Amino acid sequence: MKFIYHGLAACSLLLNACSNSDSDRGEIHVNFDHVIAGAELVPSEIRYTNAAGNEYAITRLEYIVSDIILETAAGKRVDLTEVHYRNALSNATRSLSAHIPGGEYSVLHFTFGIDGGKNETGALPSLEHFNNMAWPSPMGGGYHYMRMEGLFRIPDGEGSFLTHTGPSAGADFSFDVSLPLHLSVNGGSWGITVVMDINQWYDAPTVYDFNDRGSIMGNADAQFTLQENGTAAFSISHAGRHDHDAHEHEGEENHEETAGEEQNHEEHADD
Amino acid sequence: MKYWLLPLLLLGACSGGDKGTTPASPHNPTPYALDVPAGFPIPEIPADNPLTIEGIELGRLLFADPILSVDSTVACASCHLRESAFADARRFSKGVNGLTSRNSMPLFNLLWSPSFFWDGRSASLEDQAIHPVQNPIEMGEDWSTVTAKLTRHPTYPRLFAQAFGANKPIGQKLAVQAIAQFERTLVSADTKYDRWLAGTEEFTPEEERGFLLFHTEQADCFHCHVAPLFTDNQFHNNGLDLDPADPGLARQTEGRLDRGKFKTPSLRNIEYTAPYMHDGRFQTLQEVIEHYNSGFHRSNLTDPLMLIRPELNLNLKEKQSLISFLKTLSDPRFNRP
Ligand code: HEC
Ligand code: HEC
Repeated sequence: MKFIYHGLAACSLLLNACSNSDSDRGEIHVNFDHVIAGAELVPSEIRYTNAAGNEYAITRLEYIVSDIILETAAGKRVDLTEVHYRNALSNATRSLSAHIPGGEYSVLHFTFGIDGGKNETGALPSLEHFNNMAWPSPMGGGYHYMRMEGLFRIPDGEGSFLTHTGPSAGADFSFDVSLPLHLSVNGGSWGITVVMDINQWYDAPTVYDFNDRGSIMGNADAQFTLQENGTAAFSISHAGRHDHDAHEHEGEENHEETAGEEQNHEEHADD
Repeated sequence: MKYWLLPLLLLGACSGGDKGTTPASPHNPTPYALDVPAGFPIPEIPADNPLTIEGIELGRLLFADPILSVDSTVACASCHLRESAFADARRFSKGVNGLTSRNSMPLFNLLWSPSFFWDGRSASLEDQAIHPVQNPIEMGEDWSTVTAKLTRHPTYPRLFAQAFGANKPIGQKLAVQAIAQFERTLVSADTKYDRWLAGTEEFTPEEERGFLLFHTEQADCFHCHVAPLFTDNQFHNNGLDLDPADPGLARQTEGRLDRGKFKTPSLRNIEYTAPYMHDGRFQTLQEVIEHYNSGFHRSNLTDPLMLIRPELNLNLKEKQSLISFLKTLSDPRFNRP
């Protein structure tokens, strides 16, 4: 199963060889952004409060989303990319890009993390950012879905929390997110911004208190809570013409990093 | 097909030949085909400084030659000793004008490092090599004087010409390129651990226990010392001091929480690189393990991965197992004089 990724990596090397060229094809850029309490994430300072009343700061937020697919109103699915790494503290891979056929798109689908069947040690290319997400084989193998870390106030100073989600003991805690949108593509350049509302991870249906949760990689109960809470963390804040301002945030570095991720879609009928 | 085959194929395609097959002529240096160990990331080699047999050889000579220092007493190799995985067994190294303020760093697998020095202040091996020459404590020399010395030297002009062509000026740029080429060939992956991964050698039960402690939340070393390089190439404060005397990464970023953050060292060849930490404060691996077990300081500067628990509570046997596992990361080629 892990060979799926291998095939695509080869495909991305031959970028153009894999694409066809209809005149209504458009270019799509999907951004992943992060907010808390309605405002853009500002890392490192304790300035946020979650549903449990923990006052906290984010010092690290990295995650993997996979099987990112756009679906048309008629139910045709277009693969954008198979796996995307995002680090909220750097703009290096803020956005992923792909070419898509013209049409009316109505849903964006992705898996938060990696589907259990594919999440094996060594399945992703040996790149530093993927390697740093490794979920060691003695803990079930594969990759972390997310490493969110930070500090929170405790009576005698600051404590830390590690919201590390992943395949605890090999169980699959990845989850699918489907976000409705409206996008009519007819040539041109298009943008979708997906927003993660960080406080949602700790809010509903189950309030998550940093005081009760330590290292959670081996804690299936905590993983289950986060899997349930996480779905509501995502929404779409923009779907329309590509917003060039948004693109300007990306540094030089970005080009290199995303080059390997600019993959061409493979169309397939819904089966 | 495995992933790592891809970069190998590509490298092969770009370097256009096996090592040593074409005879060297002054304008046509021999491409060096680098072996990328299984599972290692695709290395990035600057397009303007490809690896060549002649360039590497020149770099090896310059690295070992005190000609780069003001009084011809100190070479790169004086502080980066081959038998110590190119680190220094002394806590602080002796330069032309006193002692360094940090512990020397081992040199291997630097091909996969995006930044250099304990505080990451240099972004390439080429840039890094400029600094020790000019550093008043380390080599105290001026690059223009180095250039003059190399230009009138009996053999270097010929070696520079063979590596880079006769019409390129001898000087800092080519010298640091050659040194960087040499450093890029210092690849270390010939260890018991690598053979265990490949399934050709067994761990002892103790090494296996150590591997498990390292790679689970029990000792939780793997989040920072990430396989296969055993570093994440990032910066962390691992709780050495409540009030760090050396600002570390904060000297570059001025971030309040970056105080006392240092580059995560690889744990490969750790058996050969004592003393440990940026200031060489620990003489033995026992001391290092005890630091993580019970000795680290807790503050808002301490990495969240460590701050989360007061102690690891490892017993004597577990500590010994961790050390046994760390010793499976030794590559004996980096322990030879
Ligand atoms: C007097 C001792 C001394 C000399 C001479 C010396 N070094 Fe170093 N080297 C050090 C020390 C100490 C550090 C760590 C310094 C720091 O972080 O500020 C270091 C760091 C490095 C690093 C960074 C490794 C890493 O993982 O980031 C490289 C590469 C390096 N030296 C190469 C060289 C080269 C090439 C030369 C010769 C041109 C050289 N050194 C000369 C002591 C020395
Ligand atoms: C939060 C990240 C982090 C964790 C977790 C961590 N380390 Fe480290 N380790 C570092 C950093 C950073 C340094 C260098 C610190 C310095 O010199 O100031 C280091 C240094 C070391 C050194 C000395 C290396 C040298 O060349 O001087 C050893 C040995 C070591 N760690 C082993 C371990 C072991 C064993 C564990 C698990 C018990 C572990 N580390 C957990 C980040 C970490």
